[in-house]
Amino acid sequence: MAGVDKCILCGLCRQDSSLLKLTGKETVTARGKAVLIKKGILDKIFYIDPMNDVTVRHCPTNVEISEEIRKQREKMVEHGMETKANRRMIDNLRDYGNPYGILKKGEIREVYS
Amino acid sequence: MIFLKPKKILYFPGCFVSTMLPEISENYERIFNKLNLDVYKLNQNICCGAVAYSNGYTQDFMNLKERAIGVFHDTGVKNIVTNSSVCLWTFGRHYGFKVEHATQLLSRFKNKLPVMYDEEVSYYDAVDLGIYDAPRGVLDAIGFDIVELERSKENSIICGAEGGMIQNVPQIANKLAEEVLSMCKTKKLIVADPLVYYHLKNNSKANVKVLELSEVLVKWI
Amino acid sequence: MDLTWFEKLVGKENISDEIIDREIYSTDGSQIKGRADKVIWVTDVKQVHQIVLYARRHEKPITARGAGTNLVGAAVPFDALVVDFTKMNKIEAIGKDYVVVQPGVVCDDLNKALKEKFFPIVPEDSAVCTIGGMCGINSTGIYGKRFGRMKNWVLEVDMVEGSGRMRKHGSEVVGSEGLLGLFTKIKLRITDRIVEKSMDLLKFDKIEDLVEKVSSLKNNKEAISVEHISKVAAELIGLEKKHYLIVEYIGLEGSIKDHIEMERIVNVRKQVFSKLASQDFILMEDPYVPTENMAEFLYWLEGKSIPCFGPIGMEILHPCLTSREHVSEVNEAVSKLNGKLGSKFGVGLLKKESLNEVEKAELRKLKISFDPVGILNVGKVI
Repeated sequence: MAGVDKCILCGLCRQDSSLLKLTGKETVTARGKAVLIKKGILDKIFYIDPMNDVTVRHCPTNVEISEEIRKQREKMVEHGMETKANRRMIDNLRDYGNPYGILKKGEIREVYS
Repeated sequence: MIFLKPKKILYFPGCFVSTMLPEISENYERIFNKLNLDVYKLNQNICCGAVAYSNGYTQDFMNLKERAIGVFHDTGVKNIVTNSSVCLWTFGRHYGFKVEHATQLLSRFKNKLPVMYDEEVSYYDAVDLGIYDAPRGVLDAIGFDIVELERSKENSIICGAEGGMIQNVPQIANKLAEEVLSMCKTKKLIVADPLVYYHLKNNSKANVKVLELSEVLVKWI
Repeated sequence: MDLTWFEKLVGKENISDEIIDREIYSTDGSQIKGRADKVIWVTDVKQVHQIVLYARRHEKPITARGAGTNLVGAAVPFDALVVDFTKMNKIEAIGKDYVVVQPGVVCDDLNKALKEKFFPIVPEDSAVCTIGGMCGINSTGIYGKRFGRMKNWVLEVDMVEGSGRMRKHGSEVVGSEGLLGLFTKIKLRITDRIVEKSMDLLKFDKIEDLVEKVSSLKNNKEAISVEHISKVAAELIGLEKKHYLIVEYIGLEGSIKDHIEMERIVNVRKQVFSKLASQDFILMEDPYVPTENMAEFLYWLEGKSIPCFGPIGMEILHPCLTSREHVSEVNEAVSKLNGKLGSKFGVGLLKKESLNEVEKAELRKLKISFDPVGILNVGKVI
């Protein structure tokens, strides 16, 4: 599988994109994110992604977009641009060894993926 | 796939099930016991680190991985079975461990499973799971007639539980769940991943009942 | 341009001057970089009309966009407001022999909805390309040999012209690449779904024999698709080193009648560009070369180790290149053989030389009438 440098902006990833179907915006597609990554732009859009390679099933150059986005998330963590929910998750992990912390019986908590 | 005669299999339910839905792990343990499988659980709290890894907390992931591998080594873990998709692939890809999904283990013993049902159900292929035949084999063995969703198997669509969307963009995650649920033309939708089950169940309306795979199996016990 | 005005028109979530949207919408399948001033997502004709009127008043350029898969830069904006039609995607009516669609309808989605009927212009990227975009560049598709181009199938379009005037037009505006107006509704002819199909998969050692076969199929109406994979391409994608012809027939003339086998061959054909692109042959050209000179062109390509494939039954080929450096060489070879450039993917920014001065003058004349201020798709075609 390849990096975003191999993305040729063909747009074939649009066909399996549930996020595109929902929003109608190129911005949420693998191609959209590839454009941003090539430009070195960090943005919270990288948190709106399923992090699997569903939409690159039809990618002619086999771009592994999930790994590329994961690297962007790494950078966002480094720059303090993580989401609040992720911050809560990682604090739990660091304090309690699991993302949910210590749950009282019957307590409903935020879930994480 | 990996081992024909499993001895001492570690059942690893994962953080989400252990903390939020412990009844699912209880179900699976009872089912494994009923099948006379030599399955055990760890006493310690171990996280595979998948949520840390995919959200960019790489050092945290490395620390969790080191701890987990240490515990596995100290306790002589050889074979692992899990019902969590992310744990499955994290152990397989990043730890180099041989891991099975619960449905794969159960599918090998499907001949021992009794026919308990006679109805049509739908099954949603959690995209992060990517295992298609084993869960269907299990459901078929217990008498379900699977009505395939319009998008299934390698053509399945995301449900919104993936990639951190469930916590970071819950409105979008919920709309994606509704899209999956709208494909279901039967009264029941069965799911083999616990987080996906939880997410779809929270978004389901009266017309579709979302069930976790162990829920339908535990009738046997 | 005031964002508030747009927010009132389309809603806050459908207008953006955010850097990420502008960056993403500044380019298209051609990879040429332009500059998007703002991006607006439209859902109905009233919005489109208002936007054009506003843009005309403020002399602000507009570039329309469907899937943005265009390879010649037709959707690349230059300091323009990008109007994305993705959400304007309703199939409004299905009649006995026609269908009425909004421009954002995806080609494959249209065919899925038609059941016993069929819209026969099916480009390679039919899974993503939009009817509006296909009208813009007068697309053809895999069945082009039999069914022609969009112009042959468009009955009527509703258009908001660059002047702001809203008029119905016939197929004469198809292929105007967003220069004259924005399509808001398209009425298409449809035909019966092809029930009986068969195929031939032919392999040749000599180019002359291949071209002779192509010639012999020219007047065969039942041969709806005649596709070529060159020996160089075949070797690169893991096929036996031969020159290939894949012929698809209406009816049972072909020797292959088994559906599974036919689907396998269709998948091979669909995967050719993907497999070439993953080996860095990322630029697909689209010259037309007359059959009498086709052999010479194929030899020339082979001599340069340029892989090619494509609808040779339409006298169109897709030589695939690793960079734009070699494009002028190909263009020169095509011109010498009385061929024509830009025969499939449109003119846009990259194939302006494919139009002669007479054609350009005609289009300029139309442009003045339809878009007097010159706000639509600035910099393209002419």
